Amino acid sequence: MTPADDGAVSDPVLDVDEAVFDVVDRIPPGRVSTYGAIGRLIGVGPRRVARALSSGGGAVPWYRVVRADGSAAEPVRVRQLELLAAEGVPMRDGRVVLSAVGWPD
Amino acid sequence: MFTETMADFSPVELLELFQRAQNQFTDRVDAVAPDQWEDESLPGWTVADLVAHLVSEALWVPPLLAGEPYAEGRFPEDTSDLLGDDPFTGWESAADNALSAFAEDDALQRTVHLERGPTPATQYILEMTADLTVHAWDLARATDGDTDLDGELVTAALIFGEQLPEGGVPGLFDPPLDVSSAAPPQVRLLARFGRKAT
Repeated sequence: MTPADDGAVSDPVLDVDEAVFDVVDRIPPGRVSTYGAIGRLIGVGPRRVARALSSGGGAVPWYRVVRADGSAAEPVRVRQLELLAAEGVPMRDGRVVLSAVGWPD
Repeated sequence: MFTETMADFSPVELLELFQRAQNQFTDRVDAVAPDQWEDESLPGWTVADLVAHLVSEALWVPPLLAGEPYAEGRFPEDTSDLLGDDPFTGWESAADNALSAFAEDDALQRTVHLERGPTPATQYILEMTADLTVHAWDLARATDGDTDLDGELVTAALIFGEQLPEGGVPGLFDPPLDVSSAAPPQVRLLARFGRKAT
């Protein structure tokens, strides 16, 4: 395994996907992270995180990850906001209030 | 220099437009081929220079919204320093932090201190949105990419462009070209920013 703190994931594609899933699986219910924040934890960019979650994130709480402005990506927006609302996540103007529930702290 | 405030868009709409403009630009950066970074994008600028320019603008968003005044030397000036090892990652990282800063609760109620003076954050974000939109076209044109711009972003950028002085702003915005008022919005936008749609 790549040490979690070396900041560089140079392994094949699936290892990045797995690293994304591992981190996203740790987001507690009621808390929300961003593609960029997840990416910083494992040394990849926001789009790489989004790609991993959209292609194979079904087994982890993918809906607890939004854009840096708290908005949800269009194809899953309605479903995602429903799932987050069910966990009591506060929203304003259709965006998650990240200042209240952002993860990690 | 700018006489009108942005009564046309709500803060929620401005943030949404900015996010889309970033996303549109990110798509074009993502599409740059490895051998295209040194190609010319604008007169005297490479493709890398253009992306670095937008990185620099994005890096400035958090400190300006935090109330810091514009000051030279705050960030690197060299393209390679701004882009880092991987231009796409460099852009994405700066863009993500800029979006976070604009999304803070009262960010769009603030005043930022630009080089030209105090400016409402609503004006600042619309200017960034227009800049990202026009430069997305520049980048796509330089790299044989997708030059079709998001229609709502074109409209927003046109509204910003209408506020610019007739002669442009030296060093910032090129003077407008003549264009028919019946031309499509994207053609009028590009002309407003001194670019000939081809």
